[in-house]
Amino acid sequence: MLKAVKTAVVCMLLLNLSQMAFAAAGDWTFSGTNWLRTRVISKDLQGPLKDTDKTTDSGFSVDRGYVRYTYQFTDTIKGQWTADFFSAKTGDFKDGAGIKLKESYVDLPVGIPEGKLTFGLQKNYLGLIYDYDYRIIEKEFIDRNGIDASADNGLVVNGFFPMGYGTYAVGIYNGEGYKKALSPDVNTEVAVVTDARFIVIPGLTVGASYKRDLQGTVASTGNNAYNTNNLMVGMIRIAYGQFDMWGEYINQKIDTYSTTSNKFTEVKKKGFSLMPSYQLNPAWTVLARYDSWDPNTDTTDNKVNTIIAGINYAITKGVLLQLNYQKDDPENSATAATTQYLAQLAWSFSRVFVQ
Amino acid sequence: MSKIIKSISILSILILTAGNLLAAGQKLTMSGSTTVLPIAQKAAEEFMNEHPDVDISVRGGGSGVGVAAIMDGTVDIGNASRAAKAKEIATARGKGVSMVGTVVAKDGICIIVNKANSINSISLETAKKIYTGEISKWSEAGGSGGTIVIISRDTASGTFEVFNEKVLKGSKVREDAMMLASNQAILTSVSSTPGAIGYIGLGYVTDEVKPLVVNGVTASKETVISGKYPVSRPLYMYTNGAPKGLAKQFLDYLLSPTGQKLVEEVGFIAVK
Repeated sequence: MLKAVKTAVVCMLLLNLSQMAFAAAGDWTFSGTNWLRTRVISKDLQGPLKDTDKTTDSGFSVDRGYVRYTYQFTDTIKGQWTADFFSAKTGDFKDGAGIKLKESYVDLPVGIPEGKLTFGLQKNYLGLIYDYDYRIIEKEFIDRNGIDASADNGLVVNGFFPMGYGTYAVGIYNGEGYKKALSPDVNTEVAVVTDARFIVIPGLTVGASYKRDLQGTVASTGNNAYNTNNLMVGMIRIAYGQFDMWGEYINQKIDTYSTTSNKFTEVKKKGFSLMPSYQLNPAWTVLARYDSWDPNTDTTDNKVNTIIAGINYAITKGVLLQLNYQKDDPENSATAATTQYLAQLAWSFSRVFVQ
Repeated sequence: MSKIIKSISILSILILTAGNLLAAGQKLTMSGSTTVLPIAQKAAEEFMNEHPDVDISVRGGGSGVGVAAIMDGTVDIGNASRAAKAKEIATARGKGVSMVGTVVAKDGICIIVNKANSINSISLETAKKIYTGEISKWSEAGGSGGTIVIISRDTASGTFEVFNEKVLKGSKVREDAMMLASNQAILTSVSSTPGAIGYIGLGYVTDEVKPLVVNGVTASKETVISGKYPVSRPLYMYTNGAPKGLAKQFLDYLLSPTGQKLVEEVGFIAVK
């Protein structure tokens, strides 16, 4: 507990110092989001579709909280820093909570109209990770299934196509996500990422991302053999009036090199996610999501299908009540299905301080 | 037969009543740029006088607010003293909103100084040097009044954004500049501070201050329309798609000779 208090005090001091430094210069924004959650999770221990559910977990928690500083140096130079405070199992974290740096990057001009170079720890321009706004309590599909990390260290040129016809991003990352930034075993080669979205007509967006990550094998000599992660994502968004639907299709191929057999083993993974929502009025939105993820297409019975239904109620601007029903249904009848009832109160704020 | 006539009569009355109620409920909402606000307010007043069944709600908030309100579908018209940015257009298109801007007026941004100052003209380059702090004495800029007191609009305003684009070209304003929230506040401060320099919309210039000739061009209706005056801008009213219904009626009115006269009455430049 003492450690957590110490960490909080240090963070507050840093925040105050930053505030004082920023007060004399350009515009800056202080913002944050907190997710307060209660949950009831039950597992069907007898296999799916049987009425013998047993509650295995329930309770209240403050799952996460973001604190963010954005500083606008000039029109074209901006810095952003985000800390992620999270609850965790006491086995992993002594005090049941932790803090990690989620973002720390600077946008720099790159000489392309409406384009910029983003340098540092930033969101991953892959599939819908970059867009996900937690309108449903569950994490974004790619993030949830551990297909790729939501943030990574890198260097990305990104921007907008003329006339609002879409966005693009081309860059390099470590490729291993923000949690393994200093791991010597994995960051031997950079990952290359490209992403493009085309807004064909207002309300219809189609796009694709590609990521290729080479990872030097831990025991290889001279890094002459690599594990390779090829990830392709197709996206679509259809928005019409109050209806809004996001969808993505993921195809992943991982070649793992065995130094014992001197051979590559290929694992193919694929899945998709569809997330429609309909805003009934400014306060109420109904939502649904269907995920299907097969972590190895050559192995039978390991696919998991997920159905989520939810309703969001905007109590006021910045305070959102979310109610979700979630059912994870494994294809393998020996694996327990899981049903979750989740309620979450998300509150967020943002204030711009003008010099 | 009588029963049928009675039913038809009652139905007709109900339909007419409902029609009248709907007509009485005709409402147009707009928000956004404080620069466009006087135009919107004046035109709304006159339009409502001519159409007593229409209720028009006009709010300020700044150009960013006007553009965001159109994206979110919370208003019928979003006012902006700058063109929508690529990011805003892309975000709106993604949401199924097609932002269509109608230019309803033009505005020139005048660089003004205190009347006691001997300076009469300025180049954009010198103005930039003054606002970024490279020049801090009037003697270095060809004027009088000792130390230069910099007065600027706050960075959330559309007026600042245009000044930033045309004069500052993205450079930061000197840290000790006074950032004021309205054209009127700048006018008052410059007129009462001997060493002051500021910038305001052409429509706000009075003989309490001295407007400077910029790059050899005097700010006037003619030079703004012709594009010769270098710090000028169009003023927009944004709608989701081509204007229709009441929004179209209102914009047609504003672009008519009567509406354009109102634009000039509040100090801006007519576009038709």
